[in-house]
Amino acid sequence: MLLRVISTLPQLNGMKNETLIYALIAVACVVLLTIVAASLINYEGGEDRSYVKRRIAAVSIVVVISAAFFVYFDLVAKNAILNPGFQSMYTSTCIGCVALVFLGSIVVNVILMFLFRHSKYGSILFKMKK
Amino acid sequence: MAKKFFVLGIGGTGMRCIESLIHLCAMGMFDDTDVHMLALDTDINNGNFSRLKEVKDAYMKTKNTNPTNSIASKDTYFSANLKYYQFSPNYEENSTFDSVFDYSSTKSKKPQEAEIADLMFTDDVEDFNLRHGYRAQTHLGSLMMYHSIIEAAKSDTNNDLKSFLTELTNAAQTHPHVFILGSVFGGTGASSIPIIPQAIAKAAGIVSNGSVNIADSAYFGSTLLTAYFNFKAPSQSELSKQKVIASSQKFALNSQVAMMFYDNDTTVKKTYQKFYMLGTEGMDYDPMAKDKEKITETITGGEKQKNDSHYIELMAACAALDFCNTDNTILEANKQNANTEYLYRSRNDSGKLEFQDFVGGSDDALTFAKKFGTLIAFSLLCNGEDDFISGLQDKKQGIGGFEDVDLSQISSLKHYFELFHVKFNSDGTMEDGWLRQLYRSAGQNFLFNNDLFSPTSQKEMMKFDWSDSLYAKDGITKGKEYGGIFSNKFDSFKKKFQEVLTGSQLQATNKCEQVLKLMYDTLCALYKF
Repeated sequence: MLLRVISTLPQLNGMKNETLIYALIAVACVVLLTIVAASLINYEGGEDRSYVKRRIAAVSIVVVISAAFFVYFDLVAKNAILNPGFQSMYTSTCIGCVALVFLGSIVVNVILMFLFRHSKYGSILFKMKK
Repeated sequence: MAKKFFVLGIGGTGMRCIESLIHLCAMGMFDDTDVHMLALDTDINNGNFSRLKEVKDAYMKTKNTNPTNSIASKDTYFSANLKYYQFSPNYEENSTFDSVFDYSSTKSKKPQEAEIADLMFTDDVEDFNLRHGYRAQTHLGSLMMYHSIIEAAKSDTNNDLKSFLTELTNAAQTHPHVFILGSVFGGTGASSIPIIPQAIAKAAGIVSNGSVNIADSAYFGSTLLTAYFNFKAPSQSELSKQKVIASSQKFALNSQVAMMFYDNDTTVKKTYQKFYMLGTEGMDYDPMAKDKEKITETITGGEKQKNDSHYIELMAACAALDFCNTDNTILEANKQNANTEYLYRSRNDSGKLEFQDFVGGSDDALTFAKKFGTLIAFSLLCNGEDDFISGLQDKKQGIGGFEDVDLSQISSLKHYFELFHVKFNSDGTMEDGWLRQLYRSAGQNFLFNNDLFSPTSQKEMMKFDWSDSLYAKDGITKGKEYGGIFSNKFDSFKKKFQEVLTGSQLQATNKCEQVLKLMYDTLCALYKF
C-alpha cells in the first residue's frame, strides 16, 4: 500500500492518514512488547535489581521501535512520493508520527504501570506496594 | 483457647528428642498449643543441653522479642507457644551418693538403712561423681532423681521446676497430657521414666499445698527408646580412674531388661496410659563420627557430649505429637482399667523412611510432608543467595510494609535455620544442621529427594532447584513441585508471594509473625498442598 506511487494531493493525504494509523499501531506494539519483556525477566533474590533490567528493556524497545518507524517511513516509504514538495510535506507528518510513537509509548506505558504497579511490568517504575 | 501440653525431656537422649520436638513446633505441627517443656538432666554443662537451649532461644526470639507476650497460633510456622524450663539436680557441692545422703554419719546413726544401701549399691556406685549423670546406674539414678525433684519442690527459692509444676497444677482441671522423652538404656532417662509421674505428682502436691492431685487428673505417656547408637568403649585405665563408666556394649542388654520391666510392672501400668516403643535394628550409628579423630577417650559427659541428631529422635517427638492429639476418652479408659497401650512402628523392607512412618495415616502424612518440606524451602529462601527475608525488611525486594520487622527477630530466624538445616561459612563450606544429621543417620532415602542432601558447598546448594527436586518423585509427594518454562524458582515464588500478600488479612501479634504466615501460605500454595 505505502509503496504505491504518490502523485496527487489526495493520495498524499491518504498516505499521511495511514502513517498516523501505523504510528498508533506501533505504540500498541511497544506497550505489548514491554509487557512481554517484563514478564520474561525473572525476579531476583537478595537485592532484587531485576527492575533495572526491565527498565533497560522498556527504554530499548521504545527507542528501537521509534527508530525503526522513522527509518521505514521517512527513508523507504517516502520514495513512493514523486513530487519533492509533497515529500517535504510528508516528512513533517512523519516526524510528528515518530514523536507520537516515542512519547505516546512512554505515556501509555507509565499510565499502565501505575495501574498494574504490583506486577513485573509495574516494577519498571519501582513503586512499592503499601 | 490454646491447648496445654507438658513434655519432659530427660538425659542426653531426652534433650535431642526435645530438640526434634522444637523443630516440629517450628514446622507448625503443634497448632494452637502451649507447649511447656521441662529439660531435665544432671549434667548442666552437657553439649546436648547447650544445643537445645540454642535451638529453644532461636525459636522463642523468632516468634516474639518478648517471649512472655507470645501466643499460640494456627496454620503458620512457629505456631506453638513454647514455655521452657530446665532442672538440673545440684551436685556441685555434694557430688556423690555418699555426700548427698551423708552416708558416713548414717552408717553410725542408722546402720540398718546403711546396710540396705550397701545391698543395692557397690562402693564404686556410692562414690562416683554424679555431675556427668548416672552413667547407666539406673537403680541409683531413680532414687537420686526422685529425691532431687522433691527437694526442689520443697525449696524456698523459686526455680524452673516449681514454675513448671505451677503451670501443671493450674491446668489440672483440663486433664493435661504429660509426655516423657528419654531412653531406657542409658543413665538419666532410664532412671527417671519409672519414677517421674510419682515424683511430679508428689512435687505438684507440695507446690499446691495438697490442693491438686496430678496423679489422678493428668494423663501420662512416654517413649521407650531402646539402644540405637554406640560410642568408644572405655579403656582399662579410664575404668580404673573413673570407677563407673557407661559402656555402649551393655546398651542392648539394658534395653532388653528395661522393656521386660515396662511390660510387667503393675505400678508402671497404673501410671502410664501409653508407651511408644522405638528402636533401630542395630547400634552401628556413631553420633560422634564426624569428630572421631579428635576423640581419644570415652566421653562421660560435659560439653564434649554433643551427639549428632538421629531420625529415631524425630520419631520420638512424633510420638509426643500423637500423644498430645490423643482423645481424652481413650486415655481415660486406659487409666480406669489400668491398661497401658503399647505402640510401635516398623520400617518397610525397602529401608526407606516415608512420612507415614513418622505420623501414620495418609492425611497426617500429607500434612507432615507439607509443613516439613515448605519449612526447608523457607530456610533456603532465608539464608542463601536468594535471601528474601532481609530483602523484605530493607525494601530491596521492592515490597513495602515490612520495614518495621524487628531485626533481632530476623537474626534469630536465620540462626534457627542454621541449626535446622545448614550453616554457610564465610569460606563457602557448610556445617550440617539437624536435618542433614537426620539424613546421615537414616543412611539415605529419608523422606525427601536425595538431591536435597547432595550439595557439599554453598554454591552447590544455591544451584539446587528446590522448586522441582525438594520432594521425592513418588509416593504421596508425587507432583509436589512448581515452576514454569520461563520462570526460575525464585521468580515463581515472588509472584505467588505478591498474590498472597494482596489477598491477605494479617492478624499476627507482630510483623515477623505476619511474614511467617505469608511465607507459609505462599509455599503451601506453590507446592500445591
